[in-house]
Amino acid sequence: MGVPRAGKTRLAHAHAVRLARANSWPVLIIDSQGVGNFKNWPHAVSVEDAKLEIWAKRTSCAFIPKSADDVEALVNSVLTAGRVNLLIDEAAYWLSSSRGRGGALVRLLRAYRHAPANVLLTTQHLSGDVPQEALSCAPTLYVFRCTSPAVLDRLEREFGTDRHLVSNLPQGQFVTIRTGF
Amino acid sequence: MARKPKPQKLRDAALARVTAGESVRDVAASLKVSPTAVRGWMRQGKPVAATTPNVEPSNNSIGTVDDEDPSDLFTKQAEPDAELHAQADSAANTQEETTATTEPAGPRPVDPEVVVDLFEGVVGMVLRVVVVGKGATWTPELERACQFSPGERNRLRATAPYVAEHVGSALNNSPWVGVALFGFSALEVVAARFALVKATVPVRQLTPRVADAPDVAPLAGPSVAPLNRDPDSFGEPMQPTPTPELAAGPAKANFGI
Repeated sequence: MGVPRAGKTRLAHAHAVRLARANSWPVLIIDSQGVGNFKNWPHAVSVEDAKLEIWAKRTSCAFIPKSADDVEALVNSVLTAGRVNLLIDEAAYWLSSSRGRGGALVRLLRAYRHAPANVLLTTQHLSGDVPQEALSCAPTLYVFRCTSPAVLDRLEREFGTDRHLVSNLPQGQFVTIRTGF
Repeated sequence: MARKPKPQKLRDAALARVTAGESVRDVAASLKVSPTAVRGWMRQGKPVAATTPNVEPSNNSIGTVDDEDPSDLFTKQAEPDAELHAQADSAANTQEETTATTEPAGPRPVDPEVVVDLFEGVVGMVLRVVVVGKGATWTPELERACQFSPGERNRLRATAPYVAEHVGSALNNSPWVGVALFGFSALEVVAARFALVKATVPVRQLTPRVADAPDVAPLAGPSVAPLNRDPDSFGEPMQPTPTPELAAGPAKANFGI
């Protein structure tokens, strides 16, 4: 998480690529805003196309969703079939939508280890739209520069993070917070 | 007597840990080599990628982003698996049974969180300002994301003049193409009207409406005013009019959408 252009998407992308090389599972990128970081990735044109690439052909791809339905459909497939490294860029919006819909994405955050799948999320703001379920599943947090007092308060309160350090991180640097084993 | 690790193994271990995000200094200290040596190894060639996804940097360590070339992933990762695909497809039927509502397909919605931080800092309160791109379409998701709770509405209503002034000046200084304010009846701004035009709303047009708003008791009913009200109920449509006293100065924030 962190302010725009801090390097969140680059780091998540690098992690996804390394995971894919290690576990030989394809990478599925939910490219929420069609950002330049994924411009060189092959893009699936529909949910069905994405499923075909990932689970039939076992090749990596990105997908720009048109609606929350698209995201829910793909996440349900991750829950059911697993064996994928899932990266959701700017996940807060989908988490907010998913929670309101009793959604698959929130369930995935609880159960991703059993899917099995790896889940990488980026978000600009650790706000109410990132539900407690996302933090209760003991994720590893990569915290880039954050400047919002509310976010700094929460990081300090819940993880003991040095707010001065976080608010002054240069571009491309992050603090790692491991909450699990 | 313990054997000294071979230089190649030291190099690979150092590069793998630096790649995973550990600092050069920490890696050098733990491997009992100099930071200069580690930096030299880094310059010599591409760092060794972490082969184990569970190799993670230590807690509270500071890491640096590096890039990975994904092109080797665009070919087959594993053997095609028809059964796995059938499993993934079967999830569609499960979703149709459990999803209570469906959303119409439409333009990709804009994340409204981008601008909330600014106004938390500038005005010291939560003001949900949403930026949408020119030509964007109002979506149900966007509408729900901008709804205020009764507590938020009361708090905003109590400080409306201050909020209006700061929002007005931000709009005039901003290079964005549209700003919308929602769920705040004292300001009486129709969100959809502003979502599609460049917003240079003068404060004067906002403040009189705020001054006219009567003091009211805290709301007890539903928190959301319908957003598709008749725009004529708010008087003349607001036209973008430059206000010299508000136009000075550069934009104070990069909204970085």
